[in-house]
Amino acid sequence: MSNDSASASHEQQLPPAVIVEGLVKSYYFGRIKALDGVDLRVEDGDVFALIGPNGAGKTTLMGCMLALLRTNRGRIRIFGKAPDHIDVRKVTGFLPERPSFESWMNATQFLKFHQMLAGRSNDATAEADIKHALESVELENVSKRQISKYSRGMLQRLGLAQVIIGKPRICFLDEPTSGMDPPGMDMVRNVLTQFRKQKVTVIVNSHHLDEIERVCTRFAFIRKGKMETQESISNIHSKMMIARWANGLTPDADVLKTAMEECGVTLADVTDEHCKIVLNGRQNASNVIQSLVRNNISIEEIFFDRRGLSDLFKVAKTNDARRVEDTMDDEKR
Amino acid sequence: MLTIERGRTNVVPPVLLTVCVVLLFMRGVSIFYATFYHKAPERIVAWQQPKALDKSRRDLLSRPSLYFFCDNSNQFNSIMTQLYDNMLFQNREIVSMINESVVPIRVVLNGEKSDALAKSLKNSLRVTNTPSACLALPNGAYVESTAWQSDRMFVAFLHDAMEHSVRTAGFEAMRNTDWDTACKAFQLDFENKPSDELVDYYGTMYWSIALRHNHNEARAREVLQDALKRNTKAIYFDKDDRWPEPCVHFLLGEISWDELKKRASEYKKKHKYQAETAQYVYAANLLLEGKTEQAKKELREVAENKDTRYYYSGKFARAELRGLGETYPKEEEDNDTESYD
Amino acid sequence: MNKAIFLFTMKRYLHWVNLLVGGVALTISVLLWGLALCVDSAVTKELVRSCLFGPMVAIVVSYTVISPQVANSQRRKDGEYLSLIFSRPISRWSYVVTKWLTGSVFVLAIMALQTTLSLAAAYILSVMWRGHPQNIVDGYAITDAILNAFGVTALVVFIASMPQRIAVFVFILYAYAVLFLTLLVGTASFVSLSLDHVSKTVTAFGQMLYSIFIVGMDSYHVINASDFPVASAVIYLSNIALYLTLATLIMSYREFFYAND
Repeated sequence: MSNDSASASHEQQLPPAVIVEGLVKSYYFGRIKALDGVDLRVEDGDVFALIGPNGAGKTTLMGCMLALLRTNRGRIRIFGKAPDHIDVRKVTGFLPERPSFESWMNATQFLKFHQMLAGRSNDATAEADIKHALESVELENVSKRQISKYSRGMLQRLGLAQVIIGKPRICFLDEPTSGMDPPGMDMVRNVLTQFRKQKVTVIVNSHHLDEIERVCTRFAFIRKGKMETQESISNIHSKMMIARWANGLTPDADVLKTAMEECGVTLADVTDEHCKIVLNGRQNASNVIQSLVRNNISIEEIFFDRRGLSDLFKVAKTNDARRVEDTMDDEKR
Repeated sequence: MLTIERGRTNVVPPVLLTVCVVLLFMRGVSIFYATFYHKAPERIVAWQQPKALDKSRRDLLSRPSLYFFCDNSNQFNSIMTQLYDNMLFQNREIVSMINESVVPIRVVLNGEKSDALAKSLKNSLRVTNTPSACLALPNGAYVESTAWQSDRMFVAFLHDAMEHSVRTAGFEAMRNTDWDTACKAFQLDFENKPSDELVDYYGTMYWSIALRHNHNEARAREVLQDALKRNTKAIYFDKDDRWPEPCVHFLLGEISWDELKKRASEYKKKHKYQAETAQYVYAANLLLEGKTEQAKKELREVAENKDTRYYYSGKFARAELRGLGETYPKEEEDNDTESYD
Repeated sequence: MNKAIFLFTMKRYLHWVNLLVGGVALTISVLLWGLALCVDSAVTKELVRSCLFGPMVAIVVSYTVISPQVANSQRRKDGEYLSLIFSRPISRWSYVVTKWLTGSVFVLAIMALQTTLSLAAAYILSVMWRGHPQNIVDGYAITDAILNAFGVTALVVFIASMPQRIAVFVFILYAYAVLFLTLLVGTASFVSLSLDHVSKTVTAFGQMLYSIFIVGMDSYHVINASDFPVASAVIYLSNIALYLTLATLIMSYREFFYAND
């Protein structure tokens, strides 16, 4: 309780990391609307995921938040300042989706260049920082190799090192895991976890939803330039368990009710094959199982009904398909 | 009112914008001032009125004349004339160079309607385009000319032309068989050059001939020997560039006439002209040795050679023959448009 | 002025490939100029001087130093990845001014190198061949070199700040404008001395227009003129300010991001 109030007062003092209000960005003189009235709020210290199908406007939104793209309407504030403000730039890290870095440099030179650009070259730990960044992305062995000879995955790692070297307070990562091998993905996850520990606000675009689910705290779902959902990752994780009866032995309804009352959960749905149990937050799976066993209810299996980010994608796809069908129907009519 | 948040990176700094606007405003003001209110300073070159060329003048080493030809018959030419007046002839260094070392003469042409004097000057000084400047000796002998140049280029032109005028005076004096002036001119030309500079064999050769005519045999040999000594370090990229070194050797008595003839034919590029130069040198040498009749015969061959009549050796041969009492009209040569060493 | 961008541009241009190509070109030109400087003629000397300190050298040099990096965004491999660079604490203005100063320093360095080497070549050749090489360095030459370098580089920064396809057109347009306007407007302005009020105004506007294309200043002409030509100095300075302002404006307006590729 005291923790909550402390964090509340903290939030009042500091402006949110990102506020986007009614953002409109169009191309070709308004003919193509890449973003259409997007609102977004990212708190300081969040690891925030931007998800959505291809061409939804995630990258454009990122470009606008970085002030690399001009906006047509709307307002963006990063830590309460304009996105192209020098103070914002000082604490910003950015990993582009298609890294095509200055190929004649080697990794060390490149990082040194970006350390200078970020104004970190006079730090006492400047040299050590470069070493640390290279180690974090596991590139220390190839640090003297020319960038032109790097593979896609290595470039991605270097890009991430470039983010780390600037010691950002907010970073924008566009598809950080694309072109990465499984160890590379682990590495990205580690870096993100590190950022999270250091209270660095991270905004990440990714198609690797399971990775996102593991490290992100909040997410936003964008589709066709519009913001559809914006919530905490924990909210979408289902609190529902499904218990399947053993060999078709459907228990007595009263017994089942008693068992549920004993462990303090709610019964959502009962069929001949299974029942759905909604946890109320304080209970966990073992309470439920103990209670079921105590009441002699035979079950074949019990599992969480895990509906995650991938389900959001599926829903979105189904909705799209439905919409297409509807329009076709309309046309037929 | 539009306010720009301080510290933004994607904006033009207000200070820069202000400086830019202020400077553009000042530009406007200065251009309009220069156009409407500014009075150009009085022309500070003391231009003189043109006079007919006096070809009989012998004071070739006195101040040469700088003829400035301008044409007011069409708009373009008059604009160009004003450009010269406003840019070149307002430059202080050019003005002082002109006023100190030349006689500035302004010739105003008027297309086809130009007066006779202007036309004759134009023809004598081979003026093809206007405005242009031309340096000429006091007797009207052409030295060098230039069309539109920048200030510095014009200074360079004047500098070069003044240097060349001395050498040209030497050649002109040779044509007048004025050995005294020729000696002085070649001497001056020689002294203009730094002591370790290569020397021009033609100038030296003719200088030594003039010196011998002036009965200064010892000095004549000295200048030739000095030239050979100085030019030993010369690197010639083209074998023909070594010409007329054999003539110098011949004048020093180091090689025979037959040898010289052979050497002259070795240089393919300007064979006719080399053969003629060699023959003239041979003839002049004969004359100076007192073998007048033989010399006359050789000189006549050179003088009457139609192929090479414009070359200096031909002109000199005719001058020497005139000195010996023969008639070769000089005016005919003066109308020639070309002259070669 | 941004130190990182300055060092980056320097380092990039001093890459061995550039040094090799530049070295060969420099050797050829230095030998030619060295030879020309052995010729005992003031006009030849002026010609060499105008080659070494003239705006053309500055245009070529600064274009090679600046342009491939500014003009393209992330497409060329050896260019700068501008979307990444501009996510760093660098204002577009400081980027522009850094490129301008770097270009100017480079132009001056190359002019100095060319001049020194040409004089050295001329000295060696003249020791072998003839007396004295001509000295082309004096106060005017140095002043002109500095003025040309800064003026021309500002123009090049402005042109290079445009998207590459437009930049090519602007460059061609510039060349043609200089060629034709010099004849038409530049000289016509002198007619105004004898013309009526209306045509004077027209010529004054013409001159305003034409003066946008003036990048250098002839210090010899300015210093030796009977009246100090204030307009020349103001035109020179205001053009630098104009080019840099326009370059900053274009750079601030342009989007450097792959989302709109």
